[in-house]
Amino acid sequence: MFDINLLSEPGIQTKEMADCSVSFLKQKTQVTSNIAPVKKQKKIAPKKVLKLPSISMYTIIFMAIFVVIFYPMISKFDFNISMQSEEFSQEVVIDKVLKVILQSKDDYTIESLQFLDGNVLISLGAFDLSTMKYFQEEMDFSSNGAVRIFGDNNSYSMIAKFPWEIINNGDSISSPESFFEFVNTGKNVEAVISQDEIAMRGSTSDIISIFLQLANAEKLQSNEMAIHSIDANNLIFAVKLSN
Amino acid sequence: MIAVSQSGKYFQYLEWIPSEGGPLITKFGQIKSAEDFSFKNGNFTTILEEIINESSEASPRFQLSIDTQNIFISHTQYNSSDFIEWQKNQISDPEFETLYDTFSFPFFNSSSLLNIHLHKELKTGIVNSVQDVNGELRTINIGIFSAEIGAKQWFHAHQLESYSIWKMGKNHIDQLLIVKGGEFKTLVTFKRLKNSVKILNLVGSTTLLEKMTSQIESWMSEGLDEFMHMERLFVYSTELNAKDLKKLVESEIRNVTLLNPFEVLDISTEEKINPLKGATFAEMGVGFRGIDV
Repeated sequence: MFDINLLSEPGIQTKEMADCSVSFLKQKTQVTSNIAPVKKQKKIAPKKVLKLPSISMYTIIFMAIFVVIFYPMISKFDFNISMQSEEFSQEVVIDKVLKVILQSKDDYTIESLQFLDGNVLISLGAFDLSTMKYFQEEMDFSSNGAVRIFGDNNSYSMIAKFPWEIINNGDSISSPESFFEFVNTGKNVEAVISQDEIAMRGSTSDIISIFLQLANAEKLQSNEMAIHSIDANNLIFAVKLSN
Repeated sequence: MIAVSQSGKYFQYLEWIPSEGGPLITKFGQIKSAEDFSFKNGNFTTILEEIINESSEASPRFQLSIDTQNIFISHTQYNSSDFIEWQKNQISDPEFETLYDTFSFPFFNSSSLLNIHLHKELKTGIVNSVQDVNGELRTINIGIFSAEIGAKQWFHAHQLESYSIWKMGKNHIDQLLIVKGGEFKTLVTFKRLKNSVKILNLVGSTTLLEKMTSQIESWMSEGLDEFMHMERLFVYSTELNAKDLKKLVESEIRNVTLLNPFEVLDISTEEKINPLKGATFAEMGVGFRGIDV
């Protein structure tokens, strides 16, 4: 639970107790005392006659001798430590997906943004190659290698892929009722409900709100989902119901 | 140390000193402010002067809890600088930032933010009033959040897996603060109707909230033995004649505790405090921030 102190500096607050009191207390007048202050005798430790090297020094020497003697044997072992593949955390993926949605209004259109079991597939379209390049660098897609830009004649597409996992722990959204338990779509969103899908059409801000409500309810990874642009201001968001 | 809390037109104060057995209450009381009271106009100075006149402290040190009415609360659903900037552009005009300070508190593993917007002039007015009385101000906290500190300091709520603070307000408009695993979950303002509850404002998760509100409805219609899904529910009201709070306490629900600091703290006088009256001092929690009780 956070510790509120509105005397602190505005902005994002830390969990630590904020000490930022304001004081206008008047300085107390010093009361003169007749009792002489007791001077504390400073304890002086007796000087060591002989300074021995510390235990850690012996340890280092021992380790060095051990390594020199046994190096030929150790070097032949195959420890078989596999390199961790560079993967994005789910939070980073959510962050990147939100950036994709937020910037779609100005720079490009979202052809599709699919949350599937295994990957998030992002497909964007733009008329300007420099926009695509800039977006690619800003999103830092290239370090993962899962991005392609193609096209010509002022019509370019970009396809990107992030690792993603649909966690099926029996808690996924299986009916419209369970979906609306977590999400309040608002008045301005049109929803079409079919047997296996809920498709919603609304403004970018409404769709972001739905996306974040699912994120807050920890339901983003429970079902497959897709987002498409209709025009600069409107998106379609479809959630596939689990059976 | 003097804890001061504001609720509507009333200011309550509670003065305590450290003692061998923990904090010892030496003075407490209530002051009614003027009809046109405003922190911005420096009216708080008069309140502080009245408190100091009653107090024995030569160097008055205050911890303040202000009424929720003085602030705005909003919710940023995603904690990223791009999103915060985008949301700010969507919901406010540039004037807002010049007038208000925004304090953002991360929750949901730092993925969401609870934002408290405080008028800059109001804060300046409070600080100026403390300067007028040559005092010291250590904290400015807010209503139910201050009561939550009280639940932790007086009743060791932080040792529970989950707990709620329920403030029963005027005209059946209440606030409920839900804490789980030591983390903020939900702050909701709701109105109690005849047999149901109407949500007026919500920040945070709805998961536990729905279970809680349905049980509040059950209590209102047919009574309740225990609030499920919550280890303990701390209740209080800042209203002097809180009939519904009396009814709730008399229901003897197993895990409901009246947030009455006088039940735990020692008082220097022999005065007996009615528990319901004692619970009107629940928002004094801020005065015991970081203190072992």
